[in-house]
Amino acid sequence: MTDQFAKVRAIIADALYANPEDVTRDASLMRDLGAESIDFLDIIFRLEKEFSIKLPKGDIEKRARGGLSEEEFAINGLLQEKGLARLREVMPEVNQTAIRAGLYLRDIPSLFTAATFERMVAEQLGGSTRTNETAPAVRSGATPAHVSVIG
Amino acid sequence: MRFLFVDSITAMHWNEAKGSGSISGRKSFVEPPKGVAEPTLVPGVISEAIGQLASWLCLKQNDFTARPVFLFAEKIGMHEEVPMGSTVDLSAEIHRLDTETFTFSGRANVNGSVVQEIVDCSGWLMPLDQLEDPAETRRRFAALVDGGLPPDSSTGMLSKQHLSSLLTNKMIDELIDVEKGDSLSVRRKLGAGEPWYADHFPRFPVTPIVILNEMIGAATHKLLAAHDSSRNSRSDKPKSSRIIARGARDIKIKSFVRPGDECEIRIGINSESAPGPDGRREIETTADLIRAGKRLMRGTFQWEMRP
Repeated sequence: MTDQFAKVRAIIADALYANPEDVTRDASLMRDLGAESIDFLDIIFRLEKEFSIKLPKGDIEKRARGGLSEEEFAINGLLQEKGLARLREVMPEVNQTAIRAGLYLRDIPSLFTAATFERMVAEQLGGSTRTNETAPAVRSGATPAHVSVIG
Repeated sequence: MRFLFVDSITAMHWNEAKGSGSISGRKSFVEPPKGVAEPTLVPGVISEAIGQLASWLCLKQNDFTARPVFLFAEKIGMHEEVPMGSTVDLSAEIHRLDTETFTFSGRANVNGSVVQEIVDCSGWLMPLDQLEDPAETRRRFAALVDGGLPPDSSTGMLSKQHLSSLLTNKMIDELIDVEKGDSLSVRRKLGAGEPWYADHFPRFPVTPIVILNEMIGAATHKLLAAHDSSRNSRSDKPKSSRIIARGARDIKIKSFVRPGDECEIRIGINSESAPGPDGRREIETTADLIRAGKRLMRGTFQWEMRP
């Protein structure tokens, strides 16, 4: 395990009151570790402080949209084939079979794993050219509807 | 009752603000009820005042469009007790403020000494007009920066006795369980007419963190009393008579507590120091606030027990 992942893992474990050993790279934060939307915001704040980075606002969704038209990307929130393909590209660390037909935009946070945050941190520390990288959108739970961040 | 604890704003730059709050403001906030000799300040009110000053700064920066809603606090330090009659000098510094999130730290000083501090309190911003009348908020801000509120309209700060007299119920309704003096759970239903909802907030009432902390504090007092009873049954160590809040860390609020909500508070003791030469001990607890089986808030709290 890299030192960087060890820190990411500790932060996720602290934020989710989880056992660090349960925070594996491929652990789904929502499904496996019980994260809610607000926990993502907590994790982002902690990562930014720990690594002295800024996880810029935006959206994985925005990156995945790229140059796709609205209809090519998603219809009524349901991701289309081209949208799914782009999402697989921008989330290479995620189990690719989970990005499949029937996925809605609101489901994107459920794809996030510890490795997703590890990659985002690494890209910020390494001066990634992906300047629009961002944290997952917060769209459910206690989060006000207008809040579309995290990070 | 006004749940507003900044009486004047004396300086405001883009990310820093200074102000003050009086603990001897309007009499009704500090005057002890009959039979009570000396009122005691609700300690969390000073932290609330720091947060309110930071909120004013955020509101000024976003032109009164969005109000901060506190979700996380890394650390709250309560270093000294503050006597009634004090004027508290407040300061707040914004570390992050964008259209959706904020982080601030702040301090409260009395006569040059730091009495309380907040380190890295974060959250999101909610549209102001969903919470209150922005015009009224602007008017209040103008008064605060223009020499402060006149003495007769000062909000003062809240004493435990006054808070108690305002409540239709006690801070906790029912003791559910105590386990060997090491953990405890209690229940509290928030009534629609609780006094803080008028200001917090008129259009979307939510229970202030300071009140949640008071509920946790009341439950903790019961736990620590049970804990000491349990100790004393096992040893001849003296019973503590006074419990003082010393701070909190890793506060996380996951959902609003609204009027009508019924909450369960679960407290457990994490650690306890050996008594010092003066008999004082430090105890750390973790508290969970739960509604319908779902955790709304968690925090770790430090207490000092004095003989």
